[in-house]
Amino acid sequence: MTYRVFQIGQGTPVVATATLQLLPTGVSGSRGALRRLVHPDAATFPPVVYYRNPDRLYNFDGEELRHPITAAVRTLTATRTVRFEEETGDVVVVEEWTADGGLSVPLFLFQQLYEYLVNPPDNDPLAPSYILWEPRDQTTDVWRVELLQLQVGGGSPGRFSMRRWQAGGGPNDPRVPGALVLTPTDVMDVSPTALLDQPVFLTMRLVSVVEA
Amino acid sequence: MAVDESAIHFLATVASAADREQLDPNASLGGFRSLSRVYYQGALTAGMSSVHEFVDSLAKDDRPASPASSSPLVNSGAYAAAGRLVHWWRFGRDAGAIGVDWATYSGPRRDWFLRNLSSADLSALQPGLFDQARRSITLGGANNCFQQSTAVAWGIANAWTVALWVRPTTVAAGQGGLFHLTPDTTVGGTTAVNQIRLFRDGSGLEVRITDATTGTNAKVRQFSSFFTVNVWTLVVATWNGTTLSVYRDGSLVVPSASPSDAAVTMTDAGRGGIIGGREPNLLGPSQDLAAQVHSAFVWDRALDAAEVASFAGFGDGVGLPEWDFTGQWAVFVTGANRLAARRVDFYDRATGTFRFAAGFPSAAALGDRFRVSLPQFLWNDGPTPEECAAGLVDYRCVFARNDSGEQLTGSPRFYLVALDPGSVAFDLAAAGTAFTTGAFNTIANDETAPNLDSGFGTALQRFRRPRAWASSDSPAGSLTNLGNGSGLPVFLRRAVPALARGYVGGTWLLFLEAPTAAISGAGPWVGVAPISFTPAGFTPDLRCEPDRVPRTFGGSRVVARLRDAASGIAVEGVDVTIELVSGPGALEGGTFLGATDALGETSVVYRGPNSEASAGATVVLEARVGGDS
Repeated sequence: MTYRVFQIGQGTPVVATATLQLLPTGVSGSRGALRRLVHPDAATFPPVVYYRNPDRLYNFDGEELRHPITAAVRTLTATRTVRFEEETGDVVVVEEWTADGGLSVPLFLFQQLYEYLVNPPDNDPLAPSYILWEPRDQTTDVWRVELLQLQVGGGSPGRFSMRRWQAGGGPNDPRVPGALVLTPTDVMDVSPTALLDQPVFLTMRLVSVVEA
Repeated sequence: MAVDESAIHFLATVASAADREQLDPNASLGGFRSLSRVYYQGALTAGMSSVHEFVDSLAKDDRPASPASSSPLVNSGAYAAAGRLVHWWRFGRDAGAIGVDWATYSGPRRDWFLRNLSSADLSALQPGLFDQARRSITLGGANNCFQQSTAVAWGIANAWTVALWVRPTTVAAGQGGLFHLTPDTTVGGTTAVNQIRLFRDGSGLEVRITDATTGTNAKVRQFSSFFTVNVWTLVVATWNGTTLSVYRDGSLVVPSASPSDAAVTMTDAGRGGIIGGREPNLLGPSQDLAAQVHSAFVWDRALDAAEVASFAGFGDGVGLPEWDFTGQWAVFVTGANRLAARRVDFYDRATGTFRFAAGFPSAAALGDRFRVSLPQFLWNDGPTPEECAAGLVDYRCVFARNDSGEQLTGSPRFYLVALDPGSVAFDLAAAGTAFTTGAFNTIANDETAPNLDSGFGTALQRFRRPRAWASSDSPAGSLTNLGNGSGLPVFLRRAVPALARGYVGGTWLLFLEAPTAAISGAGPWVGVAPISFTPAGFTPDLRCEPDRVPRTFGGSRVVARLRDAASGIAVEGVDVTIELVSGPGALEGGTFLGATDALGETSVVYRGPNSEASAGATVVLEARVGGDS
């Protein structure tokens, strides 16, 4: 066998370094703590910590607010009340980020929510997995939820009324432009990434609370 | 002929009989057409740089499209342009049949036969007359010559050039005919036997031109000590209507005597040509030629000195390739210019692939001949910045040969082993498939890239994640059989977009393992060739998105892109390694996705710790391309 060995050259790496600082999200169960969503596929979808909490919350306040289904039915002789009790799993929660100040949420928050909406967990009937919703500003409980709807602007459900407000006329790129990772000492100016000017609604069905 | 060890030859070694045939200059009636072309500077005519190329062109362009007979040895046809090679003979072998290849000018089929042998059918020529090793005809017997029997106009009345490669086996006293061109008319009351006559006289050469009017030998030039026994010599005689010039090995020779120097009138009509034979005529009492003749040529014009030198190959570079029965063929490289650093390239016209490149040693005496062993792996020198800019960068051309230059004919198996992961997306392509036309497809004297015009296999291997390979490992699509069944080179290509400069990568070893049956008589062999890359001109772009700042209890997608430093445009097809250098140890769930998406990104999910106590902690991320891991 014949062979020949050559000197192997060594490449020089090109390196970029980013230094970040972790921002706080508040203590769960305390006022002002940021809510978050956690996808079961943690490797692909990082947890979403809300950039800011929703302004309004439907059918939830520390715990689910069930409303019975009632009806007053007149019969021949009297008026009867029909009542059906809701279960936890019947409760549909809506989070609303209003645009009272003209702007609602940063675009990247919408993108995070949208990514969760369109990537539901694989649901094995024998071992279902759910997105976890943590309303950390109201409770320490963690809820299994199913996202039903994401909406931007009023009107028809499931509609996205998009308009971006950006600073500096930067490239119309839905992703965050630029190359910097900010530190908390920088001014948190989200306008380069665009802001939405319509209310955003996130609708989800409660499945169950995760036992502590 | 045994290789003259006192001389130095440039050798190309073939591995098998099949290769030998392919490289044999006389393997077929195409002659050197199937041979790696000897390529050197100097032009015989425009676009021609060697006798081989010339003949190749002749064979390709001027040769009659179809032989006039079923015999592959017979051919005839007309040539369109004057000033060209009008006759040529190459004594070779065609598919096992021994014969001669020739072409004639403006006429129907002309039968050539070996006088005094058994048959006018050239396919019946006795094999013993042909020296298989030297690819020549031996003319030494009684009246032994090669003759055209029928008159034909040669078109050489006013000017001509005759050339022969001759190797006398004796230089004893006596005369042996080399080349005769015979008119069939009677002039001056005398049947003019020879109009052009070259013959060996002992070790000397005599050239005569017979005047068509008087029938006398008007021009006679004698050259003493012209031949050396058992040495190939190129004899060239030119006539421009005024001057008779004679060259030996491409150099003008001053006659030692000029017994006659009268004016000459020639006619064009002729009985035909005779190679070999006796002097003064075929039936004369003098000696036979007693030499081997490799080939003979006739032009209808007088070549000038530069053309003769170039034809000989002794002007600037290499000479006539010579077959050696040990399985090699040699090219003699002589001439003053070969003392300079020079590359000799052999370009296989049939496959358009190999290049045998060698530089000549600087310390050599005039007349020395060179032997250079072929490298095992022939790598190009890498791309130039302009090549990078063109979008085709960093390829290596691997020729699978052993130390003796034996070409691998089987299907080699290439293995890639990453010494460091680097982050290079590799294109392992069969030669020629992924290259564009342009500079790389042009052969020049100092061109390092092989010609890629020929078709190759279409296997294309692409590896995104460099990793170590085991000998039994193969990526999807396999590393094997990359169109290398006939020893074609394999290219490793690292493609970088056009706007990027430089190239990035890691450090690799390339192993080549040949199947045992690849080379007859040779066992498996392994070669290692380097691949090294240095990233330059790139800037990794690292950021977290979409949330620009990671938080406790949260996560971020850290995205790295490799951007061209000048244009800022992202480079695709490059993997970037992202690592956590320091920070809270809770890189929980952090995963290196390792995918390069359409935007040329690499991303990893970084999940911050689920502890508010970590708020304010510093996280350092690093994106790295290439180099040491």
